[in-house]
Amino acid sequence: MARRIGLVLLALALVVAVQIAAKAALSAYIIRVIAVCTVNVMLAVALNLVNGTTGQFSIGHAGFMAVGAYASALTSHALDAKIHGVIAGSAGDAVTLIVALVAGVIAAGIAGVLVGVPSLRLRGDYLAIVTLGFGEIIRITIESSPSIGGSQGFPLGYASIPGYATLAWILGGAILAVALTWNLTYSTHGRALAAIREDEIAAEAVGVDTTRYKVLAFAVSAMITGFAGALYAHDATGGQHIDPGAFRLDRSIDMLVMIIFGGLGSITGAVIGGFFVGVLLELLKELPNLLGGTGSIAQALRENAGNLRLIVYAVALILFMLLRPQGILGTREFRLSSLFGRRKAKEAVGG
Amino acid sequence: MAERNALELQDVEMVFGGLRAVGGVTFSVPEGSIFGLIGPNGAGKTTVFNCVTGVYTPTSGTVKLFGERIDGFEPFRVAGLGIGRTFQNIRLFGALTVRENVLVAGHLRSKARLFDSFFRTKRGEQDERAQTERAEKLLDLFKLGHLKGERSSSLSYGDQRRLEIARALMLEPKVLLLDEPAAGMNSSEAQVLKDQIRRLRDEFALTVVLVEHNMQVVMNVCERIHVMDRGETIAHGTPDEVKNHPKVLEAYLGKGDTAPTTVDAVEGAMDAAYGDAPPLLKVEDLQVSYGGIKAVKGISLEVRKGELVALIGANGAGKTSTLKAIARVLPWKSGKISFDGRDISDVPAHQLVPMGMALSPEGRAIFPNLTVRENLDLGAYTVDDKVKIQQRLEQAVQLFPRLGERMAQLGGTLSGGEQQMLAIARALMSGPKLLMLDEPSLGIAPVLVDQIFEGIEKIRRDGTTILLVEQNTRRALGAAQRAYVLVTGEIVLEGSAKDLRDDERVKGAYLGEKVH
Repeated sequence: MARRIGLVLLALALVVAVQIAAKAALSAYIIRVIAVCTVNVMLAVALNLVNGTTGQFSIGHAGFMAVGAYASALTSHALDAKIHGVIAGSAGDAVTLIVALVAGVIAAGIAGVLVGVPSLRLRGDYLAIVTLGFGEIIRITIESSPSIGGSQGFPLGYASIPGYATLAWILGGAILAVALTWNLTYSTHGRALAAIREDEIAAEAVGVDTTRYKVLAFAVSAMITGFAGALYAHDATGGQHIDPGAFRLDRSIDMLVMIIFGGLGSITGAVIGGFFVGVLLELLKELPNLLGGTGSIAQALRENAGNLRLIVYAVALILFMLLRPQGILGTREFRLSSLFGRRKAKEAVGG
Repeated sequence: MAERNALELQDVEMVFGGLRAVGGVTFSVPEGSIFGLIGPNGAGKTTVFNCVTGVYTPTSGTVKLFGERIDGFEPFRVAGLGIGRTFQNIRLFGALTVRENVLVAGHLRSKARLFDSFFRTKRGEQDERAQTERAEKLLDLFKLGHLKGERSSSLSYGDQRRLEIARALMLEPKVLLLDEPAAGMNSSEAQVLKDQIRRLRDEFALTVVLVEHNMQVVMNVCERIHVMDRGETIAHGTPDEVKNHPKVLEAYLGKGDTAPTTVDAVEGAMDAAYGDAPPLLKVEDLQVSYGGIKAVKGISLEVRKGELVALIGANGAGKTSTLKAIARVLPWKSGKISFDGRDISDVPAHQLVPMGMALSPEGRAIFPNLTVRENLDLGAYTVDDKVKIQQRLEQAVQLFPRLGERMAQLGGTLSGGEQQMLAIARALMSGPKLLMLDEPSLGIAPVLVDQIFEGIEKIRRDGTTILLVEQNTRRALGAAQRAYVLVTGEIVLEGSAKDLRDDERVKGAYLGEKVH
């Protein structure tokens, strides 16, 4: 118990310290990159619960992110003024944000159950196709709904989503998401999920209700993804505007790449993968500028930065698959205790 | 105390598509007994297990556990009601540790709610400790305690088998179903297993149902035995009653009444002739292992040109592994195989076909979504000569006229016997010197088996050398000139088929008596 409180205090201290340090020392750009990476971490950890731990295959998680982002943005848009009418100042900001986040989580969770119940009878490629379809349906529905901005995005006109989610909020949210996922994964319920991944028939034979657990994994994963989407929408360092273009298939693929990089089934791997992909994409965006030069090739590179990014990304992915197909960590977790592994083991024996 | 029945099956029938895998099986298992369910390959034993555990819902009939109907329940519910099981091909959670494997099965008895897991509550932690303690006790009992942190996939075969039982016991079952627990064990390990099964029954107050091919184990440990063949009950009783039941002997050894008499007549002459013929296939000291289990333990055999040699033995003896190793579709551990005078240790499987080796695999493995004609054409994949292909097609139709009638039909829609004919004909399309047939009579109606064996005889007379793997001993010995008898990966008998036909020791090899 004491250890748990200690961990929470440590996490809070870290969040505050990063926030202060970031404000003081880092450029707005770096803070922005950290925020993006932190959202990625949540996305990766959420997808890992389905694809890594439970062994199902979703490539439609951008849909859940969109649901979370839009549900929360609509909520804060509608309630911001009202809440501030009751609670003024930054407390009002916080309450608005929390209400919006909860709305995003609930909406995404409902979407997760709705998609999960009928589609989890399917396996492998079939499940992948259904989830892919789901992601696209969400995006296209948003695009063709003018009341929420359609393809122009939300909100319309000169309005913007209130950017209440500072880096501290985002970091805190990520720590919460990772901690809850960790607890779930390494519990009796998490073992049931891993058993489904390893052998569904054997899992049933030892009493695991595989359908219920697959829906559970899908719903929890969707909720965390929706949470990440909600923070993304309210990101103080971001555009404070969301549009369906941000939730294309590419986004789902990015999430997939994160967990494959990090190692399917490893939470710490997903954390590393989330940061890794965030930084990689950012570097690739900047690559032509970093290369510099004034020649016609450099010019062409700068003009086609987007495409160049895709090529380098693909090559990196192929190299990764060739050199380290199990990802950075494989299915293992990075633990501080493994650094002091010997001593801990001895203590355990002694105690 | 009045004797209760732990399990009762009443007219359980299971039909897949058109195939009746289990046809009206009825038996009761008294509480606290050790009960054996036996029968040759394809008898439907595992299907019965799957009907009991909810993997399948029986097409008709009822399954009762202590008087309550459980047929149609999902497997996890059946597990929760108290039926634990192991699997024929070991199904552990490979990437999980030994301890985690057992803990998964503790899940149903866990008091931890989802909330406890998310927030690591005191109740959750306490429950986890209690479960871990229980799991470790079980592991210690099975002498797996020192391996608790290892990945279960890294365990040796025997340890994996025991872990599977430990995992099933973590459920706190009342009935334990063991699907071929002795598979892959040598006779001394099987000996130990017998005692273990009895001890488990006593210590955990279990009712044990056993599907097993090792007759030594079954006859020794089971109190009652139910014998099935091709989905039907053929006998039921105590081990002694079952052992001498004529139908049981027939099911295991096959019917011999259609053995071609021609073989007998010319046998002496042929034996002499083949004695001089150069060996087409020579296998020396072949060993094959799957993970930790040794399937083939150093066997040597040869097949001379023009011969039909049978490799016989009970299920799990290593016959198919031997064939697969020869066809290079299974890596072998040590030994030397030469074909047509050439060492084929480094020859990949697909190059063996143009060299003149063809395999008609167990279970036929025809292409179900291609027509009969397309299946045959694929068999001739390595042949460029159109005229030859046409000739062989005609030969195939001559050999098996039924195929001629069904050229445009999809392979998957043929009956089992017709599929077997197609598999043999397909193998012949490459014009092999050596044709290897794996269980051509398996799961096929007797009428069609006759036709298939007539075809095999014709193929041999036309000059193709044949290596035949068969469980149906009488059939195989009726068709072959020479035979090898395989028991748990070792050749225990070899000689002319004629001599072996009358050899009591062959029967012993099948029914679990020691071969001297």
